[in-house]
Amino acid sequence: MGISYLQASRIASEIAQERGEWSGAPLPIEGFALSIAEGFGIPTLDGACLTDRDDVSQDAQDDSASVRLINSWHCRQRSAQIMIFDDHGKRCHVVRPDFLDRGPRSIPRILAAFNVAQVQDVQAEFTAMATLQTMIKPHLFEAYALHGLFLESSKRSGIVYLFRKGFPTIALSGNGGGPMRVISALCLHPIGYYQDTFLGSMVPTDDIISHLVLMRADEHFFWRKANHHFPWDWRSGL
Amino acid sequence: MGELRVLNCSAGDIRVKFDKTNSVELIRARKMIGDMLRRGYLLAIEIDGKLEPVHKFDVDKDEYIIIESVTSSPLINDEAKKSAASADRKQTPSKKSTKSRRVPMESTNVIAIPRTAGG
Repeated sequence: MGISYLQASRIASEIAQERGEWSGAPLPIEGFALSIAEGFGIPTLDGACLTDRDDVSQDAQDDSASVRLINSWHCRQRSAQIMIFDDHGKRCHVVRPDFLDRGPRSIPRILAAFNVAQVQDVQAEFTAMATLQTMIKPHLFEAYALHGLFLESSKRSGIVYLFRKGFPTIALSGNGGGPMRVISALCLHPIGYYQDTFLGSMVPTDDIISHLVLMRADEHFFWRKANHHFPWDWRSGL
Repeated sequence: MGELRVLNCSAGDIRVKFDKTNSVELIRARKMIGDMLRRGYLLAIEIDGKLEPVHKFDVDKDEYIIIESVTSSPLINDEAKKSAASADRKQTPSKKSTKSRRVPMESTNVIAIPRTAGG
């Protein structure tokens, strides 16, 4: 008799706990490789994926071997990514507007939720939500339960954080009552995350709790550990 | 009664109560705290409505040790905003001193976050 993804996930967590990793261990899924935090007790999980991605990347490399990317940067004025290529010894440039990237690159990331949902337990999400409910004010929790987001400002720095379920947290700066400005989108996951997705190895509300706890307990550490994405970057989830 | 909550992949979070009358749970809690601090977990302790990171744990006395920063001038100003926004750069020098404080585990709530990876 076979076992389900969820049963395998529980077994993996129990084994990890026996080894002293009390947060358990994530389960690899098909199509999206795990990226694991440095120093995690089971480092062999880093890069683990249920499909052989090496073949795919090898094909891609063969096709593009003659064209080499030399440099790329974002141009805010043009709202585009500028890329310089070496094409058989000849230099050429490509201006790739942001809007071309947003849909095609964001949609597969969002749809990856269906793959990740196979190994995550809805009861774990409910437990995490119950925990979050004890940590924020009732009206904020209602906003979170209804729309998947809530705001909190840091008492220490004055920065306002927009916590979003399944997406990076947005850091906003207010100018004395004027319009708010996006400083950065902060992406961080406990234990690790599935590459090319917005999703972490824990249920989405656990990601939110970790952002909230780190922001409240050690804001500098939160900024240091999180990946920063510009608001115009599709990886910001904006 | 104090409680330890650990974020967990398959369960959402796991909870351990610090019950001095239940020696099995107490030993388990001590082991968990030791394991987690050794493995780089961030343990955040709730004190006076604020969260503070735990620095060490005294197994003999069942006490958390936290390092409190005592700031001579309040940090809620533009300078603080800039310093938080550029936290990965050098921190803004401020007139700070630190002192350690011991907090008994049976009377406080702690939430544990494992090592993190930026996505």
